Amino acid sequence: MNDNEVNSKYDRQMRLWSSSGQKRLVGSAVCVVEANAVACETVKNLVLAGVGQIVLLDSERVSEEDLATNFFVVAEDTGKLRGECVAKHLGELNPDSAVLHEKTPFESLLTDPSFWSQFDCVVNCRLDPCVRLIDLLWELSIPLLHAHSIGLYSLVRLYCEERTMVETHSSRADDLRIDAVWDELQEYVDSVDEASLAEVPYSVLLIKVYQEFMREHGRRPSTKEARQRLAQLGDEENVEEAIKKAALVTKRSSELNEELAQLMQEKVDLSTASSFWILVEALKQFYEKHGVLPLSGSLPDMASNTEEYLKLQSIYRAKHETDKEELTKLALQLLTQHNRAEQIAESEIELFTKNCSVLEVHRGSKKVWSSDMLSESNPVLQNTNIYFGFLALNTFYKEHKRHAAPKDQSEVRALAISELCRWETLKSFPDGLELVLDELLRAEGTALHNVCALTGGIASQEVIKILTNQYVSFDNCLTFDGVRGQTGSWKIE
Amino acid sequence: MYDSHLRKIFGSQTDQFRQSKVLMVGAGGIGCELLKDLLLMNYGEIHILDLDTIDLSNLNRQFLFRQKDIKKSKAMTAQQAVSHFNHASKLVAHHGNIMDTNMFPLSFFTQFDIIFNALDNLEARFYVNKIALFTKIPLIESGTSGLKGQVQPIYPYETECFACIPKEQPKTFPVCTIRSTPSKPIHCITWAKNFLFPQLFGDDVSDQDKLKPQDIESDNKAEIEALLKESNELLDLKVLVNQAAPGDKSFVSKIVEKIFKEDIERLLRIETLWKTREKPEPLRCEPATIERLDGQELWTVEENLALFIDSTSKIAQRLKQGPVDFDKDDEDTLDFVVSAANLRSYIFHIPMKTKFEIKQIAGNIIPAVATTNAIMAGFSALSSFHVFHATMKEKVSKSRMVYDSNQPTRFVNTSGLAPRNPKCPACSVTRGIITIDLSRFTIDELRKAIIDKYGYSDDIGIAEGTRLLYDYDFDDNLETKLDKVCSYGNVLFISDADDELDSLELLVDRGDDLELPELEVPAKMVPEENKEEEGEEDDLIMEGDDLIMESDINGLDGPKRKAEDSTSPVKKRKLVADEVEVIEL
Repeated sequence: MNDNEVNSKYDRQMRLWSSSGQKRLVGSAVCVVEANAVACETVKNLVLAGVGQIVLLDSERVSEEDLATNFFVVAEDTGKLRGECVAKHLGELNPDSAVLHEKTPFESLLTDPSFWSQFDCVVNCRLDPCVRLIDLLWELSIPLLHAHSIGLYSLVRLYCEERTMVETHSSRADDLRIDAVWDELQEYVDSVDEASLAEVPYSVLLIKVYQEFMREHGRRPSTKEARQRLAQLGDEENVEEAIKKAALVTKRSSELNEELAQLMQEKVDLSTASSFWILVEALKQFYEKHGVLPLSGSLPDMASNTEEYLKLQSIYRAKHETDKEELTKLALQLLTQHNRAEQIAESEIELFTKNCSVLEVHRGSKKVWSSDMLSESNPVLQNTNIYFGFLALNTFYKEHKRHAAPKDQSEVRALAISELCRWETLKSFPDGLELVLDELLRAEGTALHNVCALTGGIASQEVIKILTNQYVSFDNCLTFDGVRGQTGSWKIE
Repeated sequence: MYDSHLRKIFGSQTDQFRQSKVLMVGAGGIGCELLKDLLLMNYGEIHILDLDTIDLSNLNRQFLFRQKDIKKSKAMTAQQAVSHFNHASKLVAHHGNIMDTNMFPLSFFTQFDIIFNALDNLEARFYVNKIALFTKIPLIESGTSGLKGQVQPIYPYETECFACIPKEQPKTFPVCTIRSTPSKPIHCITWAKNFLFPQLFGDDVSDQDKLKPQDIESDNKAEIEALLKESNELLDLKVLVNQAAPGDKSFVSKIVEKIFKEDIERLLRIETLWKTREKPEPLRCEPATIERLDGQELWTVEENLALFIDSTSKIAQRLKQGPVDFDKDDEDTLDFVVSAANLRSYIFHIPMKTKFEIKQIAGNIIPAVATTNAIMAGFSALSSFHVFHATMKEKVSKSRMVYDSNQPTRFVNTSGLAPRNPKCPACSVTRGIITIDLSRFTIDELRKAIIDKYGYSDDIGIAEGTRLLYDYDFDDNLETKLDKVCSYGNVLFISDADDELDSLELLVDRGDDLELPELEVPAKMVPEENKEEEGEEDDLIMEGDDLIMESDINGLDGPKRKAEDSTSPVKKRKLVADEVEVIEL
């Protein structure tokens, strides 16, 4: 296939993460532990998206249970090596993606960091979250997802020390600076006289109304007050747009959103930190000096005379370039101050500047469980119960080497209580936990294809976000409740 | 059959899956996933329906299709692809348009227990919604756009139907903006795709399609005249296209001469147009020599011109084999639209766009990825097991609507099903199925039967679509046999001229006699004076200190709604359509 064809094949997804994201997928390697239905559904979506290499780690043989829940095995596969069978079927989905089978037992690979360090991300689909694997990958700084499903329930959990996200695709990245114009913009706004008001983009009208109101009242207008003034300007398309977007006059360009403000307060060792943190420090210095962030430079589509729109666009772009240059200088200074020889790529600084108001950082946790999760005030208590239910079943499985069944009800409940008591003193079972345990027991460890497909969908979506380093992932635990048709996500600190 | 695991979870419902027949409309992104999910739920019989064939750009998510399947029927290929995987369901594939009443008459639909919509356009969605209303078959509606998606189970007349929430209408532009005063790239793209392309390569333009003075919303006489003249001259160019000899590109230079120079010069002579606008500049440049152009890069005007010449002559040659329509995945037609749009942009000093960007706009492309489809198909298939509860109350109360979420604690939002909207244009209407032998009865006999049955006054109107068949002032057809004026699958609209009873919709189904459905037609509601307060709804919603801007996805806004047991109100629910027509001239 030539480039053109490759581009057409991935066209619909490249509209989400562009060619840069696609390039990263093609160059990525992912390991999936266990070849059950959740795993295969996850791999299917990764293969279709064009992830370069996927290794399925599995030493089981195809059973009847597999035939009932996993689409990617056929009756003739019964008794054969499961990983080999599904790798073959999944590999056929996309010639650009290599799906390999690794039959070395999982346990023995836990002592071999070199095996794991070849991957950009690992997905563990066993019931056991496996603390040893979590520790190992944490050390190697490889993001790990744990995904599993029993009956109508499933869980997805992300273990990752730190994720710094620049391309968050937030719709808030645009910044029109209604209340903080610079000289060139002011000059342009002043040059627009009454006769040409109908010709200019709405942001200019908003700036005019804002400044007029400030002069008269010494304070910024409310959305309603801005609307009233705008309404007097006529009924041209740009005025109508301005009225729609009037709430922008209340936006303070100097104000940082909470996450960003917090980010700037972080103490990071700049002699070793990633370029992201160097840029955050540079951003902080920029902000302290100017009281606003560097301009993103993009102007949304607005009704206007083309010429006026282009003029305004070039003013925003020029300012963006100046701000970016200043940010670059600050970053370079920081690198020198900390005796670092490396450079930061121009493309990275460009992306950072464009997205500097919507950066996100997630700090993960290695903890499988935290005691404050089952409190009454937890808004997703039912989902947390499900997560805990999986942990209890895992403990049972480890002890008995079989899945818990309805007959084990009292033992599993006792087990759950003792597990809970390890972390805190409980007067009673958390609301709804008994029902969740019963529902899990009813399934006796079997999975439903449907729920597996949905869970694999969520897991693969998160893997893609990690590999492309685009969009914001969930943070950091999620369960699906098929009884109530609901997902819930929360953070284990 | 491997259903012991299903039995553990669903108990005796497992047998009901086995005994059920379901219809899946659409075998695309969601459809491929859904088919797999339904097979592993052990549904007894699954019908797969799709009118489309497989394209290269489907392969990133429609996992049942391979490179070798390109151009084959989606429905048929999907059926074959799953046949060698283990399942016990009977599969029936239909390659056809769901709205084709000959292929899919009402009796086709009534065999199903559930209909799953996995469609990519609003028209077909509305159609299936209406069928579900006529037949009262539960409908599970689904759609995705990029990383967002939605699933809506519909129990006709019991819960909100697909039409209960008004959908955003396609954006349209005034003729003058497109034809004489473009100011944005989209105006030029619309011009290239919806005007120039059909003018040069379309079927013979009938009188009906010809531009008429009254179509031009302009009071500028000179402008109207210029546009009319321009249209007539295009007809001459079409002759050139039709006569083009193989390998001859010289006719294209005449086209370039006319549309990028002469027409522009003519517009320039209408000085009033350019009082406040920057004047366009007729194209003056020579084509570049091109080999391969990168679709992600911005091309020069010379490169665009070269591509325009190249694609025009290619399409002209292909026309000799048969009609050529614009298709975003047909490289020649896309190249034509891209280059023509860019040349026009250049002339009007509008920024040019890359092929990648223009493809998205011209092709109404909605981003799509396997992951979201898998999630939404999973929700859709799971929704279906609520259909098997014993009572309607249980079915409705246990079902969930799924839509995308802005809340970090939810990943996706779910809510209970909303009650139907009493003002819904689709499900607030009284309707039923009339079984009739159209060749045996006249309009008058039908009219009398309706009046007798439902107690209308003598004065009713009967219409089919926008065609009036009978009313008090139009009784010419009274003695006409019905098969002369309507056919099976049509919907007859009965209205009470005296405004005493509500209107009624009757779907015409084939029968031996004339049998009207058992219905109560309610008294007509007096329309309330509805003067809703305007303009107070903000497009921007304040959330803490952040401004959440409405994103520009082709989503459709529903009302604000509170998510189930969430702590803060949901921002806005977006009803997502896989593909929405955006531009129409």
